[in-house]
Amino acid sequence: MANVPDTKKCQDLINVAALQVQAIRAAVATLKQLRTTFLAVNPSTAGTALQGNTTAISNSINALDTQASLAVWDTMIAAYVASHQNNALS
Amino acid sequence: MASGDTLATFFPSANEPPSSNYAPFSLRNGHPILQFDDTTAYSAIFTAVMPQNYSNATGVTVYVTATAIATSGTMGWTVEFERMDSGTDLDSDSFASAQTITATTVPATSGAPLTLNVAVTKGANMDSVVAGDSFRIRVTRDVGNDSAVGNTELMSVEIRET
Repeated sequence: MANVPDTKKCQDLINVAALQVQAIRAAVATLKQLRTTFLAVNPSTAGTALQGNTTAISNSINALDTQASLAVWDTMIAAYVASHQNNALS
Repeated sequence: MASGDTLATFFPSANEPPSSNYAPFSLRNGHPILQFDDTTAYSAIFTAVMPQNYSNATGVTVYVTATAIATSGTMGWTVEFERMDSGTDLDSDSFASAQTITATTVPATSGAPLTLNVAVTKGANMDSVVAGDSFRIRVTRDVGNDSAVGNTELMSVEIRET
């Protein structure tokens, strides 16, 4: 571990959290968009992995959306520092 | 030369970067800068000839001016002198011990320059540089002691007679 002050070690997690939650938000947005399209088309799920699971998947997408939208993640995104190279903890 | 008089100035374009952990050159709104990482100790090296009117009475004071990405935390540096007289083998580095510029709180405005300094006494701490000597000065970010997150950006180095 690098011999640096704790502010820089904390920034490792802040930066990675900010980047990853943005990726999660993008993934959730993709899922929500496809869910909307899926519901509009309303195909039969018989014989597929979706059979009996659509409600659970939809609920999980909503749960992911709720968690990824928490304000604490916005705080991490706002505190992202591009020039910090995330190697203070390594 | 009188106390406080300028002996040498250095700017980013004069950097002679070491082979590793060098501070890369960049621009900030058109201003040349050298970027120093906050975790790995990057360095910049400058060469000069000590002016003939350097008195060597007390030593020198080195002023480092830089900006920071951060608007909180501290910025610190170390400086090292290397005399390049006839007894110096240039095939290896022989810098004197590092002199620490105490880490100091960065300005609340990211683009505001902060000038910090350290007095370096004549003799061993200056690698015995005297008037007429070629010498190098190595400036390194003190990443183990400063707390500002993100790059600091060196704009200039000035050496004055103490």
